[in-house]
Amino acid sequence: MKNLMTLASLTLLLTACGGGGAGDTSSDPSSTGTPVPVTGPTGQSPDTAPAVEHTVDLISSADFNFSSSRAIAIDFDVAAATTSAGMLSLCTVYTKSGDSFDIDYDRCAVQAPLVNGVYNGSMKITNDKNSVVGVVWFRDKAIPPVYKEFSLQVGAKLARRGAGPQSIVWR
Amino acid sequence: MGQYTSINRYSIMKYTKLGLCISIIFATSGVQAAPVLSGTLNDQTIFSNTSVTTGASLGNQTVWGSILANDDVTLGAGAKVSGNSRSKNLAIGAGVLISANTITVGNTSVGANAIVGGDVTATFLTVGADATISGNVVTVANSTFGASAMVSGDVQSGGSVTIGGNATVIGTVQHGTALVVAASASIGEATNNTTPPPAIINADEHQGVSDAQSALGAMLGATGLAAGNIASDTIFVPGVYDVTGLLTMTAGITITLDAQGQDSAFIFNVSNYLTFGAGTVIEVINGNANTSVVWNVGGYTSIGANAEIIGTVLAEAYVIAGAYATVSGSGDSCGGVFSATSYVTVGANATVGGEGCKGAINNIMNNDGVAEYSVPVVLEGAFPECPARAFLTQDAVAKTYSVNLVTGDFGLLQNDMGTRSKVSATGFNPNDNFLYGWGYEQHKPVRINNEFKVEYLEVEGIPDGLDFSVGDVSGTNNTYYVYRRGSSNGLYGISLDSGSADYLEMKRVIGSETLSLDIYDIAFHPTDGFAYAVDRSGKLHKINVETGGSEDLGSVGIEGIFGAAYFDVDANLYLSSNRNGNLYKIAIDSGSYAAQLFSIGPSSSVNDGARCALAPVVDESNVDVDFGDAPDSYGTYLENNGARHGLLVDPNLFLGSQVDGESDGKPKPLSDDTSDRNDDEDGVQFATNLQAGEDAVVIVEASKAGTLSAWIDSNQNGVFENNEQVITDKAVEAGKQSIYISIPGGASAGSTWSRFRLSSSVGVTPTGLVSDGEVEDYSVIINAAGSAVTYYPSSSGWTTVAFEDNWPFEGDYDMNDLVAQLRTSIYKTDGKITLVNISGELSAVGAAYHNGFGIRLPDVLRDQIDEDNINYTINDRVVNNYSPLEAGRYEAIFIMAYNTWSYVSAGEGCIFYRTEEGCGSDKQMRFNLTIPMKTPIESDIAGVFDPFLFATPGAWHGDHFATPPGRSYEIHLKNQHATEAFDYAMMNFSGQDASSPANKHFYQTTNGMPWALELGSDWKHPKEFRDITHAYPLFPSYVRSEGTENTSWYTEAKAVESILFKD
Repeated sequence: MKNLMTLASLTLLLTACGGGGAGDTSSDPSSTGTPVPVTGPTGQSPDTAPAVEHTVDLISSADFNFSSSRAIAIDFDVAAATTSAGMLSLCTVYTKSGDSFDIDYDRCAVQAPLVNGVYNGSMKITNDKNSVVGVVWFRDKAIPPVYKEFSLQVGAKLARRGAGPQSIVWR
Repeated sequence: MGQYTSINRYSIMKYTKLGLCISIIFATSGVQAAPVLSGTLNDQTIFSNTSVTTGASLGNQTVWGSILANDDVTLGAGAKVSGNSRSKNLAIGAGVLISANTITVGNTSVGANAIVGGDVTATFLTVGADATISGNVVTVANSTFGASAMVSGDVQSGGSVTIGGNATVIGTVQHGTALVVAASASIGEATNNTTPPPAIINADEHQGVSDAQSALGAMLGATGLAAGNIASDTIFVPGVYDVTGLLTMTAGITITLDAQGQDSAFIFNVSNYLTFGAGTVIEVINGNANTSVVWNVGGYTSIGANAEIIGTVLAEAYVIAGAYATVSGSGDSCGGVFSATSYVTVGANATVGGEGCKGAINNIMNNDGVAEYSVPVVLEGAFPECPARAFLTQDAVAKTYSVNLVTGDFGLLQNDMGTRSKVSATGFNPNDNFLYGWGYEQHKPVRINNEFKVEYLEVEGIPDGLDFSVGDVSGTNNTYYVYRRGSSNGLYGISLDSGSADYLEMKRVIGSETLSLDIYDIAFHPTDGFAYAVDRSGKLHKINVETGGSEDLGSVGIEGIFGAAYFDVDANLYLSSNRNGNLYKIAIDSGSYAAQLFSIGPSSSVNDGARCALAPVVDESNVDVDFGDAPDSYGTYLENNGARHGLLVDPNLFLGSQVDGESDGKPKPLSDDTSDRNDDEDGVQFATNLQAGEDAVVIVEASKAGTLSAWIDSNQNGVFENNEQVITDKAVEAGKQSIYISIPGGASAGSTWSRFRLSSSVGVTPTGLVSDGEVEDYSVIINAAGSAVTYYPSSSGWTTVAFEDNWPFEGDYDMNDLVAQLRTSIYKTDGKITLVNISGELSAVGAAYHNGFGIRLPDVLRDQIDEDNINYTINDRVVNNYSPLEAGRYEAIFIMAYNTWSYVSAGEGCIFYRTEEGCGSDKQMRFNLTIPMKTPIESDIAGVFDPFLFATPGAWHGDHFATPPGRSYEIHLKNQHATEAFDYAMMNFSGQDASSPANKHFYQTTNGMPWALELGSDWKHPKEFRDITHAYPLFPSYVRSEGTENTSWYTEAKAVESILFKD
C-alpha cells in the first residue's frame, strides 16, 4: 500500500507541474491523477489498481530502443555575427528572467566559432531537457551578446511520426 | 630517528612533539640499555643539585631548553628561557621571558614586565607589575598579582588571592581564603574553594647525573690524555679521552674536534676540574647529526667569558659560565651544563643550549653501568616523527588519506601507493616510524614509507593465499599483528625487531576457533600492550596478543562496522564508523567505555586506519588559508610559495559562492575539491571556446567588489609567465560579469591550466601570499583555430549507462550490476573530427560475475586512431604500459577495464561496490580518455557512443557457459549490435533472449526489455535487488508509451528516494 500511495502522490505532483506533453493524451496516465493501470500480460482489468508492478512484467515493442536522448540539427545564420565574428555557445541549463538569461556555461552542448555568422551541425540532448539557449558573443566587445531560446520536442514522438531529427533554426 | 644499532640488542625511539620529549625503551633480550642521561634529565639544558643563578644584576642570558634545580633558580633581568623551570624557589627578574611552565616547591616571584608563556605552579606566588602569565596559575598558598599584571588562564589558590589595580585574570579565580580585587582590576568568575591544591614535590634527579658520570667514566677503549694545560690550538679525532687530574685550556685557543665525516663521539673524562679559558673556542668539523661531545668532569667546570663551548658538561661540582660564553650542542643534541652536587651560575649575556635540538646528550647509552656510543639507523623513507594525523587506506587500488581527528577533516595524500590492489590492516610502528599493512596484490605484509609507497616484506610462514584486513603494530613489542576470523585462520604476529630471533617470521598466536571476533580493525594501546577492538554489536574487546586471550569489556553503546581504530598517547581509543564516517572516542584508561561522538570524518566501505599511538591528538591544521590546486610547477605547495589567500574568520571576498581553506596546496590529482567533497572552484566559467589568437569570454562571479588577475599557461610549459597574464588588476563588482581575455596567437592547442586570483590588492603575481580573497585554478583546453566542440550531455554534465549482466537470462532489474557515468566531447575542425574525449566514473558494481567495461566508437576504424597519442588516465594518473585501444580489431574499441573489480572494492561486511545499504564509498574509479585521430575524419558519432559490458577473460560467467566466455560475451544497449569480438552464435534464443540480428534486434528479452539502459543524467541507481520500476515509478509509463510520456522518468525528482543507493 505504501508503494501505491507514493505512486499516486507522485502522479499528482506531476499533474500539478503540468507533466506529460502535448499530443496524444488518451493513454497518458500522468494526467489522470489515479494509480497507474496495468495493461500488461497478466490480463488484469485496466480499472484494477495493481498492488506492485515489476519490470519483468513490462512489455516493449522490439523496435523501441529506450534512447535517452535525441539528435537535434543546428541551422544557424546569425546576421549580427557577419560584421563582427561571433562565438556560439548552446547550453542546457539556464534561467531566464524577462529577456535576460543567466547561463550555466558548465552545461553547454556546443561551443563553436561562427563562420560568417553560420554554424551548421548536430548535437544530442537528453530527454529530460525541453529547451536550450543559444548565445553569441562578439569579438567586438562593444556589441552585447545575443540570446535565443529554443523549445525541443520529445524525440520518440517525432520518430514515431516518421520525421527526421528536429532542427533548431536561428536566422 | 628510528631503530638504533648497537653491539647489544636494544632499540630506542624518541620523538619531540610540542616540546614534549618522550623516550621509550624496548629491551628485546639480554642487557637493557637506556640513554646515559635519564629521560627527565636529558630534557634539561641546565641542572643543578643546588641553585641556578643567571646573574641577578647582570641578566640577558639565553637558555634554550629547560632548567631543573633542587634549590633556587634566579633569573636575572632580561633573561630568556625557552622551556620550563622547576626548582625549590624561583625568582624571575624584570623583563624575563620563560616560554613554558614554571613549577616551584616554594616561592615564585615574577618580576615586573616578565612573561611566563605557560602555567605557573608554586606554593607562594608574587607577580610584579605589568607581568604576564599566559597559562594557568596554581598556588598551594597565597598568590599576589601586581598592578596591570595579566593572567590569561585561571587562578587556583589554596590561600588568599590579591589582585592589584588594572590587573586582569581572564579565567576564573578560585581562592582558598581571602580574595582582594582592586576596583580597577578585572577577573572572571570567582569561587571560594577551601580544598587547597596538593603540595608540590620535585623529584631529586641528581643521582641520574652521577650515574651518567660513572657510566661515561667506565667507557671502553679510552685513550689516556695527559693532565694539565693545553696551551695551543689542538685537533682531536673521535674517541674517549681519560684525563687523570685536571685539564685547563689557555684563553683564546681553538680546540678542533674532527668528526671525520662519520657518526662519532668525543668523550672527555676529566677526573679533577676543567677550565676553559676566556675566549676558548671548541669547534666540530666534518660532523653530522650524530656527533656527540661530552665533558665529564670529576670536579668543577669553569667556562671563561666569551668562550664558545660545544658539548654537554657533566660536572661533579659546580659549573660557572662567564659573560657572553656559549655552550651549545653537537649534532642534533642541545648541549647543556649539569652539576651533580653543586650550583650552576651563568654570566650575563651568556647562552646555553641551542634552538631546534632534541635532548642534552644523544646517542650515548648506559649499558649496565658502562656507557657506549650508538647511533640510530634512520631508514630511508621513515616518517620524520610520530605523526598526530591518522592515516586511512581505502579502495580497491589503495589510496592514502590523512584524517585530522580533531576536526574530522580529511584529504587525499597519495593515490598511487605503488600497488594495483588493496592495502589493509595498517598500523604505525613507533619503533621505526614506518606504517605497516597487508598488501593484497602479493598477499604479503607491506612496509609503507613517508611517501605512502608500499614495499613488500619477505616474511616466512605466510599462510598460503590468506589476506588480512584486521591488524595493527604493537609498539611495546615491536610486532605487527594481523587477524582473520574463520576456520583455520586466527591471530598472527610478525616481529619487526631486526634483533629478534624470529624477525619477519609470521607465527600464529591463536586460532580463530578460540579467538572468534566480528571485528574490522584493532588498535594497540600506547603502553599497556593490549589490542582493543569493538565488534559489530558494539562490544569492546581487550586482546592479549601474547596469549591470544580476550576479555569482553561490555558494550560501548554504538553498533556497526568500525573499519578504523586508533589510539592516542592519552589512551583514548577512536573508532571510525564505515557507515557514516562518525568518529567516536572511548577513554580506555578511565574504566568507562561509553563511546562519545568526537567528530565526523570520511565514510567509506573500505576503511583501515593507522596512527602513531604515541602522539597526542591535536589539531595541526591551519585551514585559514586558501590554496590553488594546479600542478605544483605553477606554484601550489606552500614550500614553493604557492598562490594563497588568507581567510578571515568570516571571509567575504571570494569567487563564486564559497571559499574553503586548506593547510597546504593540493595540486591535482590530490585536489581537495575532489577529496573533501567540497568544491569551492565555482567562480569562473568560460562562455566561449579558448582559441589561439582569438578573444574569449569568461564569466566571473565575485562576492563583492575586488581586483582580479588571471593567467593562462598558453605555451603549456607548466609555469605562469608574465606574458601569460590575461587579466591584470581588473576591478570587478559583486555578482556575475563578463570579461574578455585574449589568447596569444602562438598558444599551443591542448590541455593546460589557468589561475584566477581575486583580492583587494593590485599587482598580485601568480604565486605567493595575498591577505584576502581567493585563488581558483582551472584546467582548460585551448582549441586549434576554428575548432568546434560538441559535448554530451554537456560540458560538465553526466549521462549514465546501467547494466544487468545475466544475459541471455533475465536479471532482477536492479540495473546496478555495472553503472558508469559518462561524458563525451567531440572536437571538429571544418566539420571533421580531430579528437574525441570520453570521461567517466564507475559508480556501482553489483555483480557477482567479473565484468569488463568498454566503449566502441561506432563506425570508426582502429586504423583511424592516432594510437601513440592516446592519453588514458585513471584517477587523474596516466595509465602507462597499457593501450586502451583494443588490439587485433578493425573497429575502434576501447577497453576501460578488463575487470571492474580491479579498480573498485566492496566494503567491509559488504558483497558489492556501492549497491548495498551502509556500503557507501567515494567513487573509486574515475577515468579520462583522449583519442586523437590520425587525420580528421568524417563521422556523425554523437552522444554516449556504444558502451558495453563484457565478461572478464578467464572468469566464470554462469553455468550457461561451459568455459569462461571472455571477450566473446558482450551486453550493449538495446538494439545496438555487438562488436566484432562478440560470438553471435550465442544469440540463439537462449534464456529470455529475443535478439534477432537479421531484424536488427539486439539485446532484448522476449518482452522487448533491455539488459542495458542509458539514463541521461548523473543517475542514482537502485539499491541491491530493488526493481528499477519501484525506484522510478514512472518507468512503466515511459515504456508503455514507447518513450513519449514521462521522458524524464529517470531523474532524481521522479524517484522513490528510499529505494536508491546512497553514499
